[in-house]
Amino acid sequence: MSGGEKVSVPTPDLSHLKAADYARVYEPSEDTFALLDALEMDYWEIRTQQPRICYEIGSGSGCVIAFVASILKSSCLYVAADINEHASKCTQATATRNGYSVQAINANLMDCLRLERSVDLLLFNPPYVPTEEEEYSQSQLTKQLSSALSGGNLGMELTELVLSRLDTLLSPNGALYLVAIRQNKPEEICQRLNDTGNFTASILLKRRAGIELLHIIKCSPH
Amino acid sequence: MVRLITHNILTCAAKACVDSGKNYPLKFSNVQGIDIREQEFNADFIRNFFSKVDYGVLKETLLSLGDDSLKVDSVEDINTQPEEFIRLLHKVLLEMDITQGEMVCTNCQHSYQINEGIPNMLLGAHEI
Repeated sequence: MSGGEKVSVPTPDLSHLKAADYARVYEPSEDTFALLDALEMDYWEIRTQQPRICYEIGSGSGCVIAFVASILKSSCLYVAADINEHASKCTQATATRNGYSVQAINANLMDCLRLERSVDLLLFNPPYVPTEEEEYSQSQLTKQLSSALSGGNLGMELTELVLSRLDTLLSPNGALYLVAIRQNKPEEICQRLNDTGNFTASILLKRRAGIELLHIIKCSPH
Repeated sequence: MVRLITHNILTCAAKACVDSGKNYPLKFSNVQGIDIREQEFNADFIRNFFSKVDYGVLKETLLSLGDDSLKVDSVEDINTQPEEFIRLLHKVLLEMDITQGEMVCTNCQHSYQINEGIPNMLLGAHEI
């Protein structure tokens, strides 16, 4: 197939996950699918970049990382972190179900990895819903389903943490795919990243889903 | 599944260990299960990935698990290595799977549990 041709990548099989799982782990929704669609739009570019390490922060059901694994197969190492133990189990199960090797780890952000400027593909669908500070702190402590939703101030608490460390994470050819909603001020996020002079950031996809206006931001080192 | 490729990039997250640079490598302990799971061999991946691997740590870790199949002490240029060696790397990096055990930080002694192949790398608030 020639580069640039539009490719349709199937959504991973999630039929092994049941209502009991989704009571504890975020069920793939419009935001998840928007991220998959953005990755699919970049199919050829992602393939051409030949990522060696793909890292997902907050992998939940494992839908996103399994989707990427179906694009890159055995050419990449997949590591998927979640603070919710059950999410890590679901991620592992989803990878196995779809025939890919993904390392699920029960971990916070990127705290326990020796990945200095090594992440080629960084995926982050953060808890982006603006909530009171207390609700955010509590959800992070309990590490349950609410931690996939509650985003604290402007819904940006965790996103800010990741962005502040982006230059030590991404490899020179790396890219971050980040989900944001209008309340997170995605244009400002891009502007700020561009203003550092270290990154090129833009909105790859914008989509309305119910009350949310979803954005997929893509950011690469200059 | 904790494969040695993952172990090779995992570190202790405790701030004191990170700050002192003594957060790596973690040491396997109480390993109760090692599965061998066949994976599709991709020589390009091994060669491409090799620059990220701490080979010394890999070799030592393997020895600590009772496997002395890596004989070479250091690898100068992965691209000049014979396929036999690449296949060996593939096997030890991707096919050995520690399903049950612990990884211990040799600095703070925190023990990270591996349960059903998933390592719990979280620290309590007092440990960070």
